[in-house]
Amino acid sequence: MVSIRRAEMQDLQHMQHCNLWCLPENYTFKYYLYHGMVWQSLLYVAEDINSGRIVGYVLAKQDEEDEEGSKLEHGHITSLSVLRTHRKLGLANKVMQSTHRDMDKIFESHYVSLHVRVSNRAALGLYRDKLGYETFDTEEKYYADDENAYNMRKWFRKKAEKQ
Amino acid sequence: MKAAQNQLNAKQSNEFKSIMRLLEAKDYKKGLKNSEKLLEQVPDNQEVVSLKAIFMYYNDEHEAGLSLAQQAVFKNLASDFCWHIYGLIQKEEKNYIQAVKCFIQAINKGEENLQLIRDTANLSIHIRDFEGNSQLRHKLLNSKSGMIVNWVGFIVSQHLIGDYKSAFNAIKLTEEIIKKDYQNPIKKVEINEFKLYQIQLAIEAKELQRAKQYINEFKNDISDQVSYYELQYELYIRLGENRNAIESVKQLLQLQPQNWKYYEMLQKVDPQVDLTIYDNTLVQGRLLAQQSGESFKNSFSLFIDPFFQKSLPSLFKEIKHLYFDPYKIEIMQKAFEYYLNKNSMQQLWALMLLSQHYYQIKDYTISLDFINKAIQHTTTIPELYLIKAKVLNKMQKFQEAYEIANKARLLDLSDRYLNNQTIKYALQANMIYLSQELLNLFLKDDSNPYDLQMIWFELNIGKVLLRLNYLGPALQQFNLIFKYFQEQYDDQLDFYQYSLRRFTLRSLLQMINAMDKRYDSKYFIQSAGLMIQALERLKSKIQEQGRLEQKKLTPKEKKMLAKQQQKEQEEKKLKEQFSIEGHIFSKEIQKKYDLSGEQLLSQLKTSEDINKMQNRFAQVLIHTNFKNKEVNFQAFKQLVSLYINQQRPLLCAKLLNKLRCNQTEQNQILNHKYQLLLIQFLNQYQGVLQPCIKEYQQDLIQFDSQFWDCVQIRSQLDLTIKRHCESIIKGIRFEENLESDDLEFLKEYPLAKTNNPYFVFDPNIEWQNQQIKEYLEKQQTQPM
Repeated sequence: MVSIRRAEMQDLQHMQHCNLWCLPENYTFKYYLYHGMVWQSLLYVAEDINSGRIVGYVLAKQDEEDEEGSKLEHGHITSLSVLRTHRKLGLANKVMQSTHRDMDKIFESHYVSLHVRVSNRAALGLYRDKLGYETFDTEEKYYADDENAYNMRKWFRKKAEKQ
Repeated sequence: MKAAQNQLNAKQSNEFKSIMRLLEAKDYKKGLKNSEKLLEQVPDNQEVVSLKAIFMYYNDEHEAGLSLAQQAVFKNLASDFCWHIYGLIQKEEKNYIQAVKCFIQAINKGEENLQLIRDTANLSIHIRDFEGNSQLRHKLLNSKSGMIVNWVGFIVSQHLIGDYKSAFNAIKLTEEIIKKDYQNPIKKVEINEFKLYQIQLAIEAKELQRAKQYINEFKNDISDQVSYYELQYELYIRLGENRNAIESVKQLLQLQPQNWKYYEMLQKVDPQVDLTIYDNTLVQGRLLAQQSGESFKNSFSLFIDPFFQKSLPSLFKEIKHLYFDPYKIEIMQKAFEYYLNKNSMQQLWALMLLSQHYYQIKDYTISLDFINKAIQHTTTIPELYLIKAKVLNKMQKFQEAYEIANKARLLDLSDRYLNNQTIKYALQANMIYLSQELLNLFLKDDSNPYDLQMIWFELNIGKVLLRLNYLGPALQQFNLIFKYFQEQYDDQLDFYQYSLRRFTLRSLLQMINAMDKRYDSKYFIQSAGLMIQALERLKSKIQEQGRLEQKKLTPKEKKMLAKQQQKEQEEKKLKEQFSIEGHIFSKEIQKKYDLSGEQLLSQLKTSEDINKMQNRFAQVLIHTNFKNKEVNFQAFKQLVSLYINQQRPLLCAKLLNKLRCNQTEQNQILNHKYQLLLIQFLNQYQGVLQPCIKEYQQDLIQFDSQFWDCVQIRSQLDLTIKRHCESIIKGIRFEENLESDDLEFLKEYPLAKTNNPYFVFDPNIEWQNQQIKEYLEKQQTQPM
């Protein structure tokens, strides 16, 4: 039984642990603390109520400028993962929806962006088909093993409305 | 600094300034050279001495630099500059309390230095000197009252010392300044945070009417609805306005319908609430726990059916909580068995679930049988192999467990979870070399588990190293885990000021609280217990060696000593090829993290050194408050002999309480033995603190016999412990020749004779060579 809630400061090291068990892209504790101290309202965790373990999380942030340098407030997904033992329960979808809502309502983001491996069919299915992301760009050799990444975006506010 | 320069002529003064710029630019080599040159001209100028000292420090002469800086201060106590430099070096050394003292001296003796005051304020929060921080924030505010960040810093400082009145006054003034500052308007999200903070402050200050006023006034300024309604709920609970509290939770449930805490909050205000109106699997699953008999049977079948229809392997995680109730077990079993006769996929999940079911009720043989059938049915699902490995592990068939886990890993080489699990099983089977190669598959270029703070790996490899009695490397792994928690704490440093600028004050307060409780972690507690145990072994080893070296050796003992020395030589040579604690890492990494434990051991040459180190860990461990009783007990039991040997009656009493609080059905017998030892010590204690521990003293024989009347002896270990208790009461040494192949037994009595191949206490060179040989062979035959 999994509970989905905002991350608290004491969850940060468990998010780090979950990340080390899911992904090869890892970060030191300070990076998690940085996210927690600046954008805590965007961080969500999936907690297995029985064991108390953090089995999934989303680590997110905000940026004032887009890649071209123009002022466009947007969110960015730094890292997202769910432990293998808790897959197919819709946890990734739910934490993402929560952070999307807060990026939109609290930070008034125009869009949210993320990077995903071009070969990661499961993730692409989630982002494109379930969450409404579009592919914005392809970045060559983005990952440490030289795999390419799709830079994807999901718009909250239509382009015409942006300032 | 001005005073310093007064003693220098114009040319020297300029030189001083340019050397200061070198310090800011971090050009330490040149800085050292130039400051030494300048010092030749003015050898008695302590400020220049200080400059040289800090450059020495940054040129890796830590001890010399620190000591020179201290000398400079003592020769010129009036110099703010000397104090400042000394403080900076103390800060680098992480002697934060000393650093703050030095900075305060510098602040008091020199001209106003706002940056120094601000840095000292932040450092004061870091050492949790909230009073000190408050005074410094006050100073900052007086100097620059136009800067909003100084107001915010002051508000938080008053909050931290509990002066709410002052905080609210400051908030009022701050808001006025914010309103008038058209040049730098604060962002909407910052207003949002600031308002939420004010509500939280009002609730904390118990000014509930004020909080209520804020809840209404600030509603439009607050865009973070989750926080808003959570605070609203808190407030209504304290006001006793239950109906309003319910409304708040309902809002929260619309935002986060899968947050179980919100349902609990609802039940708290309305114990009769009907949760079935919330139509989601979370509520359904939790409510199953409250049902029984026929109605449970029906609800349970309804609940699990969608999982079978959609082929979801994680079903067991969703119903695990139901196993606390023995009456439900048979019903669940039958519900799973129902699918054995359904379509192929459903049969498979039924077999898998039944395996997990029997595992949960500790019937490992039947569990293994079911998972084998499942694997026979479909050989390509990693989850099945992981379940099998788990069962084999419980049956202590560690080699097999590793091989099965490896099969799972081979089915998806890009999955880190499978890789990590295989590493865990490899370590359990003593395959240290192999486990590191597996780890390496997911390490990029020059990264290593120590840079990445992989404390799970450090703990697991530390456990094996200790089991095999490689004391140096084992100690260092546990030490690295301790360092991780210290690093966590120091990561706070940059955020005390930064959070003020971003108005994320609630996060700041939460961070401070969370950090103060960081040791309530299974990784720390386990590693601390193991550290103390390992140090105890080291102490015995050193004492034994000391004994051997001192007394006149018999020819037999001389032979033993020579053999031991030869073994150490061979091991050294083997190490240069294949260090057991880190053969996959470069020599630089191995040295940087002291993986062999050499540096650590050099600080642990005497019994006094070891006691000191044990106490460093004990002091933190004894004050932890973790929820898992088993984890707690395993660590706390290591403190028993420590506190008894050090003759600490108060700590023994505290420890006795800890042991009692962490008693479970699983550990009660072993727990009893340690309680016995503590009570025996307290009974015999005759010192000045006797009146304090009187309530713990009791008749040992009665305490012991009463206990055994109430428990069932279920294993060889239980029986052995009973006999051990008898020896303790009689006051005689427990010298039985113990023998066992059970790992739990060997954990408690590691010197027992054993044929268990996984418990190799003190592997010899042949064993290590054999490990390397097997590992190299495996490398050639198995795809990695």
